[in-house]
Amino acid sequence: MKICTLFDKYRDGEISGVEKREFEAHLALCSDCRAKISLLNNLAYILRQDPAVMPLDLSGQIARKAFQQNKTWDALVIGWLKPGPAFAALALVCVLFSALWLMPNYQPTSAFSEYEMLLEDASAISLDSGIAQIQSDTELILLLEQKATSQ
Amino acid sequence: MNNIDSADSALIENTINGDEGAFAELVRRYQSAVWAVVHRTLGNSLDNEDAVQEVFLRAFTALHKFDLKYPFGPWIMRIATNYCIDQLRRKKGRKTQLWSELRESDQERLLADMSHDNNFESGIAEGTANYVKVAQALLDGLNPKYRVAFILREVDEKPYDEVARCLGTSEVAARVRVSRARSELQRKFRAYLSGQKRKERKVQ
Repeated sequence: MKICTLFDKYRDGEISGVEKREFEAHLALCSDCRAKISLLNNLAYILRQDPAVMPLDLSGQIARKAFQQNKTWDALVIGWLKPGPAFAALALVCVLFSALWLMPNYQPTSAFSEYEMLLEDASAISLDSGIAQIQSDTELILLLEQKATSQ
Repeated sequence: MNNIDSADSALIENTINGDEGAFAELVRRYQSAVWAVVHRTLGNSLDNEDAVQEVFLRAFTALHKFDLKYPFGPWIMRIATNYCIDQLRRKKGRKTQLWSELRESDQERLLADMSHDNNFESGIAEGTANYVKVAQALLDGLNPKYRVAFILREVDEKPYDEVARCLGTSEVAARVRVSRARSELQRKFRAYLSGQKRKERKVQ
């Protein structure tokens, strides 16, 4: 029924005068609306009977815990880290790395690349310098170092 | 709760500056209100103390972002209602198993009492706990957002503008949630009643 749509306004005490009288006349006939009002009255009453009184004062305990938690580094970082500055820092790191990578004379150095350079030097040494007798990498490195100091 | 309390502002500033006592005082001022929301929304549980603590710890973490131009009360209530909605969503899978705990005759009597408006207030004294269980079982079936709105409006009797502030929504949205909660409760209650009647017919 169309007048049922006034239920919430009636329940919230937001209708008066003719509308209110009309709705009350409707209530006398509409068992659905009547049952709904009874149920809501009963539910609200019951839930208000359930005491929502705090059994003890938690203020000291909560404040202590809050300040203890605040002293840990991870909490400080999580609490103060804002998305904007965090993304800006990340973007800056990315830009620095890509600029370094794209530099024309940039050559990453690693143990492997140094070893490759040593091998190139070795291939440039003539066979009569005794390289044929070399048994291990260590001997090769020692030989190359000797060559380097003699030059 | 709508007006800015200068004492609250001073306590907040002192808390941010590292005064533990100021935060304890702030908690003391609002812990009962937060407890009431937690208790009425999540039901009577041993976890309610943890819930109140968690609400204030969340507030503490975000306190440096709080704008002192606004009152603290609705802000902490909003944190509390959001926390309760999260908790209700998490425990959605384990709703109150009310009916198995009660005898058939008790179920019948409780449901009959709930559906009539006659002398209810005098009749409740004998078994408040069971009626509360019925009420909680009905509320458990509601969407958490509707449930919190219903509690704030129907049980705590807050005006709609305050309900809206606690929920972090517009007043219109708050009205819609309360209205849906009312209709949904009636629908679920009817379902319980018809289930009860089916059981009775089977017994006969």
